[in-house]
Amino acid sequence: MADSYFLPELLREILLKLPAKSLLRFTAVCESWHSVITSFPFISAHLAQTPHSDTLIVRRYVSTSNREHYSLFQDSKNQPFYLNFTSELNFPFNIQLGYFRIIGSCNGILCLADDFFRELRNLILWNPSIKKFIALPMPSIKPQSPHMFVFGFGVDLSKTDDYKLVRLVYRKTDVVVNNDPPEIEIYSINSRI
Amino acid sequence: MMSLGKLITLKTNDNEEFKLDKTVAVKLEIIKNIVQDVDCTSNVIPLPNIDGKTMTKVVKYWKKHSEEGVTEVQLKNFDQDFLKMSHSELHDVHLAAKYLDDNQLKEVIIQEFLDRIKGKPIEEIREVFGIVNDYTPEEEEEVRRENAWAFE
Repeated sequence: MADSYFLPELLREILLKLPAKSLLRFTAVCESWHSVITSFPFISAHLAQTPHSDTLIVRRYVSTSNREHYSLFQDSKNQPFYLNFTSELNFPFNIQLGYFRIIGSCNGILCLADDFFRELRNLILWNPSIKKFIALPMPSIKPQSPHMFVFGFGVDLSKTDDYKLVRLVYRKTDVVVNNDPPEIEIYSINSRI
Repeated sequence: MMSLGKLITLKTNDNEEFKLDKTVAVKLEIIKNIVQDVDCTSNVIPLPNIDGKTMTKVVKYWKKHSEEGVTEVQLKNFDQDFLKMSHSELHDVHLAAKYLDDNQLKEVIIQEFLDRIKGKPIEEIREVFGIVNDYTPEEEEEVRRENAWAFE
């Protein structure tokens, strides 16, 4: 931020207090703002200072129109079991049959899988506050024999926040107690493998 | 009843002197530390990073905010008036507040900047922060397109 007479610390402090939408807009101010706003240290500082809210994401599926609706609600402090509607999110995906399964959510990012009834067709990470999503590659472990699998989604805080999707694949056998260890695969967003 | 004559003198980098009641001055971390270290009621505390023009504003703010019996409403009106200054003056007061470790004044100024940029077009944001646009028109168009919904 050398192109302004402003102290970089002051600019940073101001920017940290802005909502995600304003920050996206302010990437157009100049190149250095763009690189600061999209940098890892800034994003994690912004996340860290964002106050924890009682916002809930509510999903409903309308079978007649075959559409999913994601809405934001505010947990009402005064009235138990009452939610105040905040806004409806623009859900950017289409699915032919049924609805996405929510694998998990972490820091406002939703991990969705399109594996309703049938084989897994889509794996998506969706960040509604910046209206961006990425499609993840299909898993590489594909056993020919009958199998079951389970997903886990979370963030690795060790170095730079890296979002990871873990998939465990079990062989399905007729034996009730199956001692075969599951096969495990992990996808890391940062390394894209 | 506070004792009279307990004055502290603050001297800016352009040799302007400000005499402050000790009870006002010791509210500030940096000055509190100096006062604790030496009994300096007779001495002058130099402020090498602040000029007289900026210090006048800071002192005005301190005096109002440490006035006895001042009401919330009066302070709110005072702050509103106090913050009517140019972007660069506001920046300098923030610098001074930072140096003097006055978190309250720092917060007030950051809030004022937030109010000044809220919902403003990009051109005005650049003006507030004295930024020269270094994008080519094509690059800027590209960045705007990337997050077009945020400009709606």
